[in-house]
Amino acid sequence: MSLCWAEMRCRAMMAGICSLRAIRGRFYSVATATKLTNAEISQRRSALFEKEKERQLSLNPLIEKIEVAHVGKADPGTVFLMNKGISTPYNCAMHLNEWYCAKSVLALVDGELWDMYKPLTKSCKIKFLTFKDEDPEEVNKAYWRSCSAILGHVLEQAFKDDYIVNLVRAPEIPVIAGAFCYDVVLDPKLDEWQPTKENLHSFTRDALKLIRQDLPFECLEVEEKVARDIFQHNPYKLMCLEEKAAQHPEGKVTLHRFGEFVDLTEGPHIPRTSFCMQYEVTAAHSIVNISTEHVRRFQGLSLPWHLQAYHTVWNKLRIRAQKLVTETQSTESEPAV
Amino acid sequence: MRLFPVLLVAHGRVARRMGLGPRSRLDMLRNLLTALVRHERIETTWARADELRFYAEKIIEYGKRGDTNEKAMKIADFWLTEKDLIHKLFKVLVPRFSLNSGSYTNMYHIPNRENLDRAKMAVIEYKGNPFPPLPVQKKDNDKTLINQLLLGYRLENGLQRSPTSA
Amino acid sequence: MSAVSAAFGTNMAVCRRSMLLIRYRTGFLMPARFLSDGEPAKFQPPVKPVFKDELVPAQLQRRFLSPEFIPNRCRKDPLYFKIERNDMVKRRKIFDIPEFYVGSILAVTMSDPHANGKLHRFVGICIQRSGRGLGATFVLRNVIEGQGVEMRYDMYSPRMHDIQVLKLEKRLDNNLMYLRDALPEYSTVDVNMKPVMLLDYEVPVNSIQVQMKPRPWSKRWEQHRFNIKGINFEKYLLEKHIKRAKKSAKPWEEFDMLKEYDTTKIEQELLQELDRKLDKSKNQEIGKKTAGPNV
Repeated sequence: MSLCWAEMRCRAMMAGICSLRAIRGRFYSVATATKLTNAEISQRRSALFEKEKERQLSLNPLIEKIEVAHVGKADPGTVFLMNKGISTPYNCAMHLNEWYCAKSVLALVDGELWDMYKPLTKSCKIKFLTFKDEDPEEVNKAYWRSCSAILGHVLEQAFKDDYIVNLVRAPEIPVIAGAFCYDVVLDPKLDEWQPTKENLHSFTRDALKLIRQDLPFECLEVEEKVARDIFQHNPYKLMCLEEKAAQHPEGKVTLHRFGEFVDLTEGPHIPRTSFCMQYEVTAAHSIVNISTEHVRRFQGLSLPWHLQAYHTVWNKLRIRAQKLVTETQSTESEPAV
Repeated sequence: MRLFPVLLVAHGRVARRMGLGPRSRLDMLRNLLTALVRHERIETTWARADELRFYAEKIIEYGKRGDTNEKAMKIADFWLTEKDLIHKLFKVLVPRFSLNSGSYTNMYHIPNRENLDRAKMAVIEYKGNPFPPLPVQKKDNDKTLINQLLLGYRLENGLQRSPTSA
Repeated sequence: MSAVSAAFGTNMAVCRRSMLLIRYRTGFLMPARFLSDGEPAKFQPPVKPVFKDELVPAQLQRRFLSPEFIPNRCRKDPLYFKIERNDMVKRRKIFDIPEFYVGSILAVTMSDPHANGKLHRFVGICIQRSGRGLGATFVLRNVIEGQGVEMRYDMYSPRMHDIQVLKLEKRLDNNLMYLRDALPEYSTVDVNMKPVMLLDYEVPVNSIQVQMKPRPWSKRWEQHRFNIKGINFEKYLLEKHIKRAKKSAKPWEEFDMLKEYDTTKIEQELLQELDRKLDKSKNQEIGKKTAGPNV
């Protein structure tokens, strides 16, 4: 009988240990996933970005001078003596007058689109692009891109620390489609969640806070290895990064940062967030074509302070921006014109 | 007290107070209108041009009644202090505007006066005058962001409408 | 009405035919309850006489728009005036307000709880029309037993019982308030006056110039702002009065086009609108009577 008891105790102990192991095992596996919250990840990215930027600046301790000539209807042929690798097109605009500072969205440096806050690398000719140019298509694209970036930042920061948010990418939606968007994969716990009007409103409020902070968009070209380090927590970004690096002749990728948000970019951005005036997150849709993941597409509508809409017009555009936009939409509608 | 033009009208005051009183105001505008009819394009302060514009249009309306009309002749006689201009009003300006109804004048902002008072200045002219046209600020083109958004909106609605109508 | 019943009191005994003749001549029909000897019947609105010249084709009929329909020059919402007009038309459908001008002689019957027979009739010369919309009024003046009497009537008041035009004519001025300072015979009208038939197509203008009492008057009628043509001022004014009047004149105001208020377009639109609305009502009560074209 006593033997029997001993046996039973032994079994019970064994079972206890097993269960503890199981618990510990589960605990560890969860711990690896929640090691870093969204905020911590973005802080880390920002820190790495800052570090890389300083490293690149320290590569050239000597300041070289370059000559930048202005091309344009007003003030043609003005030549600026600028610092190589430090001065940006914005600095050139500051030398001209306030109009250029306030209205220039992008710069055209030797025929190449250039961010306003991207340092100039050689002597060149510069032209400033605004929203009211003859053909502001590139400017519109840049604006749409920046608005999606703001949306991405908002989505990353909006959720509680328990939920993991993975940004997928910001598809290049043509302006005529009526809305910009950002694709996101949310935590599996949120699969059932449908964003209500109040949720979207709170997203809008966050975005407006960002806009009010007047954050500059910084630009940096980094090698693939560094970018990999920056985006190591986000598998979708890593996939995009590989594609980007393969396309680039030197295997480099361009990153943009505003505030603490670092993102891979398709092209140049507007200089500051305060260029946006009216901004609204209008809708969230689920995209079904990716089978395993539940990808959501958040959409928004925005207008810069240079081109404001009357509230009736804005309401119409807002209602239109609630429909799901796709990248192919414009190609369908164009033949109908 | 400075009110909006809209509020001024709402409070029963349609006109600005100018000069030394209502009589003086009309005399001043009379001289300006005479100059406008003679030269067809004059430069004056913005407020005066704005006041003058109404009378410049109204005198053409009266002129359209013809030079046999008693009231029209009386008005022209009062407003044109140089009497050779009465002939010009009925024989040159009125035939020029015989096809249009209303909006016979243009008014443009020009830079503020250079002297001490820095007054807001304007140019007022009769349409179809022989002078070269003034440079005008052009409107936004179709490719700006908001116009593209509106174009998309219009296209979409057009697309939605066509199946229902067909 | 007491005055009328008094006037017809002697005729009560005459035969029905002569009664009808009188009614035809006066253009006035007494309410049914006065004619029947028995119990008062149900109230019926009195039938108004309408002078209509059958020889003149309808297109040439005189068009008259009552001035209270024309809104003042202001920035008020036009919808307000439209709603008010609807109410006015509603009232006009059951109560005939005839065409009359300042200077016309009217007889107005009004319900009055203190009067004998609950109705009060007053005859006088119309010296002023004022007010817009439902608040339109007119003033009648008469001299009764040597005492000048003026009555101001609300045209759309529910107490209004009947408006009868005894003599349709215009005067040189649009406001005859200066009759207060004129000799009493110019504002004296016979209380028992018979209606005068209008033979002409046009409303005649009475170009009489009145004799005034000696100065001072209640207002300085010689001032240019009153623009009075019905007084021959030369008889009454001294040199200094003329000088003073000249000083306050503003001869440039007629050339200020900003002050003009051209109502011809509004009038035409209003006439069309009122024709439409009143025609509808006419179709509803077919066979009752032929309403005049004047509004």
